[in-house]
Amino acid sequence: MSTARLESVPRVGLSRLPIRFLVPAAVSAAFAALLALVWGDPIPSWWNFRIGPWIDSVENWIILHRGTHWLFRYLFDPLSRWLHNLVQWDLNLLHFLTWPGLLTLVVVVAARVSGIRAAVTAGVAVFVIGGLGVWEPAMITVALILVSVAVAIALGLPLGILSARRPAFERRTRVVLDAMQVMPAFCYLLPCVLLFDIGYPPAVVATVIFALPAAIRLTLHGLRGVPDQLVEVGTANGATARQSLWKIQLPVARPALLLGVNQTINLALGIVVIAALVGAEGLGQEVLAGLQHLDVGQAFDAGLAIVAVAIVLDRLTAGRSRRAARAFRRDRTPRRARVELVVGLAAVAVAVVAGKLWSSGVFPTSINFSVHDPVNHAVDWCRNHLRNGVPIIGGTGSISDFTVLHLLDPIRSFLTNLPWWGVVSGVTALAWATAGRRVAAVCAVALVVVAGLHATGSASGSIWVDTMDTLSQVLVAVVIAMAIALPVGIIAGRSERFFAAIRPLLDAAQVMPAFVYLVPVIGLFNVGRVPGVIASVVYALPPGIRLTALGIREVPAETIEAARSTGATNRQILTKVQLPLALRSIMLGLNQTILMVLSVVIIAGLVGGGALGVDVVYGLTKSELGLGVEAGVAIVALAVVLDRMTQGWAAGIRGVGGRAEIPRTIRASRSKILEMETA
Amino acid sequence: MSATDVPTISCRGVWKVFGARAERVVGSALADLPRAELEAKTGCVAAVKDVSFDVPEGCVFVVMGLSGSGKSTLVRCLSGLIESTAGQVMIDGEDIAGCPPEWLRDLRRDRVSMVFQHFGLLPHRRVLDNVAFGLEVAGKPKAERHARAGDMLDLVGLSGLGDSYPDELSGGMQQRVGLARALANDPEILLFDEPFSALDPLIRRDMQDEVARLQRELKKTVVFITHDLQEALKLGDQIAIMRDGRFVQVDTPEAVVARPVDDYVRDFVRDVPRGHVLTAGGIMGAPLDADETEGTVAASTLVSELLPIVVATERPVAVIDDDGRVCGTVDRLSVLRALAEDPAPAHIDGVPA
Repeated sequence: MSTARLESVPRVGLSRLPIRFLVPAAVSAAFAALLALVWGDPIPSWWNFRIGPWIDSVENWIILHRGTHWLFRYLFDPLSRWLHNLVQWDLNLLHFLTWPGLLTLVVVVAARVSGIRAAVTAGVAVFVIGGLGVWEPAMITVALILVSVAVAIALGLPLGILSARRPAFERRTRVVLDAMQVMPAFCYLLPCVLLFDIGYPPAVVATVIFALPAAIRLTLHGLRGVPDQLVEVGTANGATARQSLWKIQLPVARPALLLGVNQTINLALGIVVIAALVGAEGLGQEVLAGLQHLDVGQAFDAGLAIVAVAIVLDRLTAGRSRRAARAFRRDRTPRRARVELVVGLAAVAVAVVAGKLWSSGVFPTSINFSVHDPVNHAVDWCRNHLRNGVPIIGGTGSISDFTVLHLLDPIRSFLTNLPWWGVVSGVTALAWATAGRRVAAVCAVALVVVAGLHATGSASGSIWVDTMDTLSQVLVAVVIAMAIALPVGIIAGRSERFFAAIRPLLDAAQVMPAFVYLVPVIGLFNVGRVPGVIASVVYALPPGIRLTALGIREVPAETIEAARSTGATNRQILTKVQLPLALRSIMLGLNQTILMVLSVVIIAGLVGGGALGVDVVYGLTKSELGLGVEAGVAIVALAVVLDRMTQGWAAGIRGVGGRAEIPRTIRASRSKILEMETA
Repeated sequence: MSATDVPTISCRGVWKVFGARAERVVGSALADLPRAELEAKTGCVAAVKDVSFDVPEGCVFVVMGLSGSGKSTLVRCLSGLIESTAGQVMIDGEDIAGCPPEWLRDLRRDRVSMVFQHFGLLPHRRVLDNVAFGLEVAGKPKAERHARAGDMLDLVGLSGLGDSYPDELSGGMQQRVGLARALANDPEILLFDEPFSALDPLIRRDMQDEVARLQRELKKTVVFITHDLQEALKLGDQIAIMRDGRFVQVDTPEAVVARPVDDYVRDFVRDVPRGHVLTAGGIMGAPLDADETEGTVAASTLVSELLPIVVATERPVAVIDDDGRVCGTVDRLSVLRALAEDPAPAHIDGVPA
């Protein structure tokens, strides 16, 4: 990273500018010539990693030996059974509580942990879940989340502590955690299915893989946030290392650790829904079914229920604000705490009994806020009235056509018509000139690896072409997303009221699984590449807006005042002070936007997005694991190229926001942003 | 205050060099290079260079220096929080270098306490539990440590605030908690690392008075780090002026003001109101016969207090020591000279500043 930082510092004088671009250009041209001469075009067949065939043979071997080999008999199968039983046990507990009991329990716990207002919100959310008519699937999703989060935290906390105490361990695991976070979840669902069969266990494992890096990194971040002086106080008072950990570091880091738990839950929720693809039931399956039948209403009900579950879990773990916590602990005598505990338990017990007596605990169907029919009517109306003939913009149909004809197709044909060595060397040159040698090397390797993937049966017949297709979709979506996010973020950064107004929207948009966006978009734009692009724009807007706004808000008031006192106008303050200083944060926003767009563009394979997404989905549903995994490798390579390059841009910028450590420590978008907001 | 044969703290040739292969810097010509040059050349930073001093039991030893002079590193070497690179740090005659961690831990639990610059209070614990922290890690039962912590809070004037949390107290009160915590294990040695530099001036003066009062009552052996000369003069029995890791001058407060060893120290003490530091004993001339003097003053009388006395009489005044014996005389001239003497050479040459 240090080279990247040095070489992309934008202070390079004019005289050095040509060198800055000439050297990378010259080296890349030589590289291109080498590739072209030695390997030629198209990609020679001998440049083949044969990952697909190898995976296929592994798959066959597994199918043959599943019942006999010790790996399965003594490792994966018992683990799989254990996870299944955990989920089942959780589910039984939730059923035992009955809905009134669970409602009461949620209210009591939320009141104790996060205060009365949070308790009311959580209670209403529980009620809404029932009212949407998805109580049963919601319980399955909750059980999956509880098990996944428990496992992720049980692994993440000790590993985070270990990383904090052994920097060498932290350095060595960093790459692995990076890869886990960049990789779209879709990619590791496949191996999970292979090892754990279908059902709850692969869903839990995939969720743990997705949430674990955040759990580790937030623990590490929390422990690193403990002031050195407090650790020294421990030593100066004669505390042992263990005493220092338990009496100083963990308690002081507690708020950060709780935030970590909260974030882990949020991440888990985003992924557990995708797990529907591997046969785990729950809300995800409801959304998926809605998607497959183009029943927007059904998917919407389930989507709202997911948001409600997210709200409940958030309120259960959010804790109190600093001020409220202080007031709470002041009023709290031991006697009062005991009384509260007894009353709370009694209330839950009474509610459970009442639930058993009254309609045997099943949520009454008479309470119903399903939005199924209104949503479907609205979708029909839109389809009938907005598709065509809207003045000026012409309707969604023509927007869709325009996007395909004038944006997606030209870029795709440009990328696919370029010889593969041209793409490799061009990207390398760009990375070198803007983000440094090391990033350029990583990009070159990643793309050359993609060139070595030749699985049969991919969407266009070639993984390379599919990768370029996906890249074209990502580029279009990112440009649209940033074109919207920048101005909105700038306004939000300059107007407190506007930011406060859109904040709940941004929160809700990020909790909603990417999946859910596809549904209404298909209603409007039909299947194909466009709904994927549109859905990914919607999904990726919040981090772009947030990080732009945060960057602008983090410019110190003193700096603004200084600019104003020298006579700068509002516009000058924006263009000469706020934007340059916020640029680093905006770059991180771009980085987040790209990664989120990529994850949705892949999911859009489900609705005709084609390219790598459809390869993965095909691999997943048709048991073409070789193809699925090769497409997964290509996705990871693409993610690495885009991630490293934009990270490199951000690292080279001096400014406020996204303090150097944060991007590398916590990649998961929502955690990072919350981290910055609460810092 | 009776100094026993063995000083409570004794340092001999202590070095602390940060960086890889730090030993090669110790005692070599490298150590005399300017900081940046040394770091460029070796990657090392020499924070403490060849420092030696003794603190007898019950005395207050103040280390004064600007930021970056190495004083905070030095104080950490005294309890082994930072291991010195070379030299001896002796506590009660025992060299702490090379002692096992368990021994150092017991040293910190029983005999040495520290008060920190930014208080170092644990935000998740009540004030009472903060004060009791050292006793808790030493394994004292709850009732005992809470009783002791309550006593300490009474001692520093925070009675009844044990149930508060640190963030509910003002800065001055927080540092009183820090003080109470340091006193809770009844240590023989108290280390202060710029304890009042984060407080505003009025509170700082209160806290200095508080420390002076406690020291009169408790008679601990104290090493006090500060960058505030007034504070050093007020609290110190001995003052060491530190610059770039070395002791430039180690002396009594009065001697530092009266006889600075070089321009660096002279610069420091230039603005000190001399009348409030110098004493009759420090400026007196040779004793005269009893019939030539009029009246007596104690040797510890400040020059500012001496002024009205010499104004009232034309004859010299006899100075007597603690035992009542005449040890010298002061007159108008010696008082005026003491007050007027400007250490800046420019003025001696008659060139206006």
